[in-house]
Amino acid sequence: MTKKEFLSQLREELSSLPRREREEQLRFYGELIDDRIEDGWSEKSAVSRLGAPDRLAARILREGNDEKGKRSKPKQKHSGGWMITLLILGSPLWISLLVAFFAVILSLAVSIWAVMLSLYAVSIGCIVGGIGGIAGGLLLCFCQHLTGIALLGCGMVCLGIGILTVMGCLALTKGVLRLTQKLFLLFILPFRRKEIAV
Amino acid sequence: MESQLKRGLLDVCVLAAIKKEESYGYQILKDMKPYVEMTESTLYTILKRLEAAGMLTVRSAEHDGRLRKYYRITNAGIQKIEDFNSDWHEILAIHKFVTKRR
Repeated sequence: MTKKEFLSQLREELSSLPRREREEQLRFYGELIDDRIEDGWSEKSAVSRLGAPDRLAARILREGNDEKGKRSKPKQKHSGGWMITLLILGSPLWISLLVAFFAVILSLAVSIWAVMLSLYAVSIGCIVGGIGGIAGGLLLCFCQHLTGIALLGCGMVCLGIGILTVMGCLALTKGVLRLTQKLFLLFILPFRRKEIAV
Repeated sequence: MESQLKRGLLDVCVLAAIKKEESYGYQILKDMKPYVEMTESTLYTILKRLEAAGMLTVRSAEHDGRLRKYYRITNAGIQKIEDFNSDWHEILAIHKFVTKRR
């Protein structure tokens, strides 16, 4: 094949390229053939060295696409934007759910503490009543022995119950405090940590 | 060889071929031939890429009644060769580690 034939075939194979690029390619390979001829190669071997025009064209087009692929901008990740949009759109829902959730938690805590307080009240009442009974019983002992002793006994029992109840309440209070602490750490601390990170 | 790695290495090869003095397509291929075989189409792509990156300049000059394109290295191109040379020590160290751990 002559240089002319080769280049005209190559021009045809590269017809998909824009004209300027195509002419640049042809000029490059034409120059190579000429330089080889100058170096002592025959025209035939200088041309055949480049291979068949269609295969060379295929390689040129493929390498061109590879270059374009590497140079194109990476696709923007849209997922971040979507997440924010969804969060904003759904905010009436999840904000109110969050508020309701915390309201429930709060009311639970309040009711627990209310129960605690009443238990304390009962135990204190028992203690006070017990002390009163003991004192009264002791006093009565001087006049009416039997009633006095009975009152003393009841007073002591009451006091005993009161003391036991108080101890139970204290233990319960410790437990509830620990639980409250844990819940506090669980719910509030993650938010605090996010703030620090930001 | 992994294509991404080879691409970078061949770029430096071409730059080295024109470092001492400007050269032209065929001469570059000839100079590289004892070390690295490169196809003509690859060379064209590399030359175009290096020109776009500002690592070489191109000029057309008359030679024997026809036009020939000469490629001359720029400072950026020289810098790229120097970066390659300094990277090379690191590559050698990694290679040493990899072969030791075989």
